[in-house]
Amino acid sequence: MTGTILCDVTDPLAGASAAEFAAAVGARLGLRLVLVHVRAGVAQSSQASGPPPSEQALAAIADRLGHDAETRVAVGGDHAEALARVADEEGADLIVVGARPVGMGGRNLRAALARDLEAATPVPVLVAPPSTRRRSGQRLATR
Amino acid sequence: MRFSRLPLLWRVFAINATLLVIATLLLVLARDQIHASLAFVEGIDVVVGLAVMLAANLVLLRHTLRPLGRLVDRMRSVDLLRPGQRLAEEGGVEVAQLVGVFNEMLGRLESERRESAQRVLRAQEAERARIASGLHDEVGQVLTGVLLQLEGEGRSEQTKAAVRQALEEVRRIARELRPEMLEHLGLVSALTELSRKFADQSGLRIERRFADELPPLAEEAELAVYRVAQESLTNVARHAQATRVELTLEPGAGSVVLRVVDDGRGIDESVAANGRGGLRGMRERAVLVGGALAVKRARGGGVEVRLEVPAAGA
Repeated sequence: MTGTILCDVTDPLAGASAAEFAAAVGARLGLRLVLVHVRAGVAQSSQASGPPPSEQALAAIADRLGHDAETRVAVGGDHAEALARVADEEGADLIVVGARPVGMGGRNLRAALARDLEAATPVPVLVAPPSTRRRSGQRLATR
Repeated sequence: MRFSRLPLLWRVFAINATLLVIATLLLVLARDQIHASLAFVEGIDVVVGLAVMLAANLVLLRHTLRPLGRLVDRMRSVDLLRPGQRLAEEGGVEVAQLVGVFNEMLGRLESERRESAQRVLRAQEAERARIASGLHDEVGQVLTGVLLQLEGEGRSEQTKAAVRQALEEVRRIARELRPEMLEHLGLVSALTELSRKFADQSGLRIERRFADELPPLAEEAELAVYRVAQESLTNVARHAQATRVELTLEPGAGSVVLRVVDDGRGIDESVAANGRGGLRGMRERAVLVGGALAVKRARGGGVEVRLEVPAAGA
């Protein structure tokens, strides 16, 4: 492995397809993939009641992508700050964030996250809207 | 709430709104000069126009002052252990200048912090080496002399065993304080020796996987890898309740990656993120050599410590 892609999968709608895109790019370039779920607030005990559904979704995405995908749960109030911290810890070379597959609102939301990340980390950020992922997925699949 | 305590956005908005309302009232009251028969509908038009102007004023002000809000947020959350956090210099000239000055100040703070932490770590290592040398050369020699004397006098085996044990302890502490193996035989040999000793002392099974060819590291980066491995293994022995530890050293992207993974009870992510003491020390070492350190839950439970340090000249 010669580098690291960090992919935000906090939003279950956008996260899964962003992770697929990140995994395809990672496989092509030989990069390590770390999937991150940001959980707001205080950590819960995972032994007492099992992981929350969102983290189960994280595990499910990782399983679907294959054995090489690593997972992280970041605990913190601010989404961008938590992602930036994990990117720093993992020595990430690229952060991939998804976009909701519907409407302008979702894209604006992700654009805000990308802008916040710009201030929080020097790591480049790639916003992968669904159409980009479809096109890139087809291109990557043909090679 | 006093006017001066209001946020800047609302103070400017209140002033602008007051002026706009006064201007509108003047317009309405001076209707004779503008329109002879101002009807009710026209009055509504004026009110709607005023509301639109106020809303536009608020939106524009909010947009103009937003970089200030981001600056305040960044000032509150900035962490010098995560260098490189900078704000885009946007907004009006003054705001952009303020952000620019803040970014420059952050650069200076990061640089000064890095230099002072480097000095502290160097002093710490020098002090450790001095203590290790004192233990080995002075206390060790005295104990060896005592042991020889006891053997010459034919004292009991129990007394001699106690002195031998003390001598071994002194040597062990000296070795831990100053990793001579690192200086003489390199990182892989030093980590092999460290993990072998750790397995002997803790009784844990340790699996080593060191890549055959690793990029060369600067002396300080090698020391950082060694110290992080040492601290991680100590944490496993103290807190993890593990039965097995995996120690891996592999090449990365112009870097070397160390992984210490145990099968113990794991760690809470918030504890790992806000770690104090040993964890913070490891993070500082990583930052000083331009590396990245992650302490996280391992895939099969337990804890994974991952340190990536740049290769020499990378």
